[in-house]
Amino acid sequence: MSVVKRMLKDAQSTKPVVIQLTAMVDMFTILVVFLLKSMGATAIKIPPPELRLPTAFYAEEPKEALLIMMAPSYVSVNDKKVATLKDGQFMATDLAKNDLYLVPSIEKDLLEQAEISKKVEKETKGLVKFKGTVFIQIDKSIDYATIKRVLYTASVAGFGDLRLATINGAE
Amino acid sequence: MSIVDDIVHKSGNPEEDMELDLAPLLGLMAALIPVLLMASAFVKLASLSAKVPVLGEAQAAIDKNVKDNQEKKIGLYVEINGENFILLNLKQGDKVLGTASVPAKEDKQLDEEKFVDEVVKMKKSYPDVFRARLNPTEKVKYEAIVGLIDNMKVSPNNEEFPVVDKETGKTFSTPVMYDDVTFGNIMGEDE
Repeated sequence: MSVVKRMLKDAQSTKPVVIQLTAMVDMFTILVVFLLKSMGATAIKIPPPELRLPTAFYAEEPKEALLIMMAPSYVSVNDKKVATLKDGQFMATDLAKNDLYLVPSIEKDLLEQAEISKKVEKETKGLVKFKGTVFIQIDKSIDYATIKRVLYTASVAGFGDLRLATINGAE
Repeated sequence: MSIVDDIVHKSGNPEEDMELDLAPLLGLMAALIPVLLMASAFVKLASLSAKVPVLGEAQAAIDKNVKDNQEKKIGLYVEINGENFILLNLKQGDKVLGTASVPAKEDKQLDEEKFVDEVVKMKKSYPDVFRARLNPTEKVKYEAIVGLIDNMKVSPNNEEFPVVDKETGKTFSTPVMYDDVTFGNIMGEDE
């Protein structure tokens, strides 16, 4: 009997075909464990695709802090858009009239965040201290002219400890 | 008939192997994988530390004290312009202890190799200095700033520098060069 005939005979038989799922479940379990591990334990937000970070080789593990994002078209504080950028520059209407380095919309949000942190510090009796730490994700193409305005505003609001976000080039 | 007898009767032969239905488990796994793929980060984030002088009423007094003390301390002043030309000055107050310049490469990119060489030379002359003040001009890109901070932080090839612990008097070695970086021109000074 030829192989084809035998296969046809097998196919015509009424026996139900049982698919062996054990190997597939094993494979899926390994995949789920790998993905869970690659998620990591850090709560740091991954930047959106329009924000390209530069690479650094001697950078440290990022710690959770107040997040400022500077993409080429906007600035956000803790995911809330607070200013619009045009070609990576602030528009004149976003800057304070009496101080061209101060961005009032950013200052307002930072002061609010500082107030909350100071309140927490008071309520926890110094257990959770306000250190003025800010984690800044800046697009690599943005000029220092724009960065300086955000750093100055952060400084005025009491945030002087900067954590500049980079892609870890060492791994 | 007891419940046990009933179960045995329904399953036929009590010694027959029971088939575990893996289909629901497979369905769960298939649902979990896309969720985890979407939540996973395949890019590892890191951070570089830097400081800016903080404004504030109480802080002003502290800053004055710190500034007074720091004026007697040595620091590396790094200036960079939009053409990626770097000027290095090792200063103690207004007194310049060492200076070097690093022009950009032919393709206008930062000459990181020469910059690191000059920073290592400065570090060798004053190994116990860790402070650096960064003064970029307005046209400098963030990528260049990160490049400078990253290259100043640790010596290449892990070359170590002797540092004396002022409290114990003991000498130890470290590959760390300038890891205490402050943006110097935020408040308008150092321009």
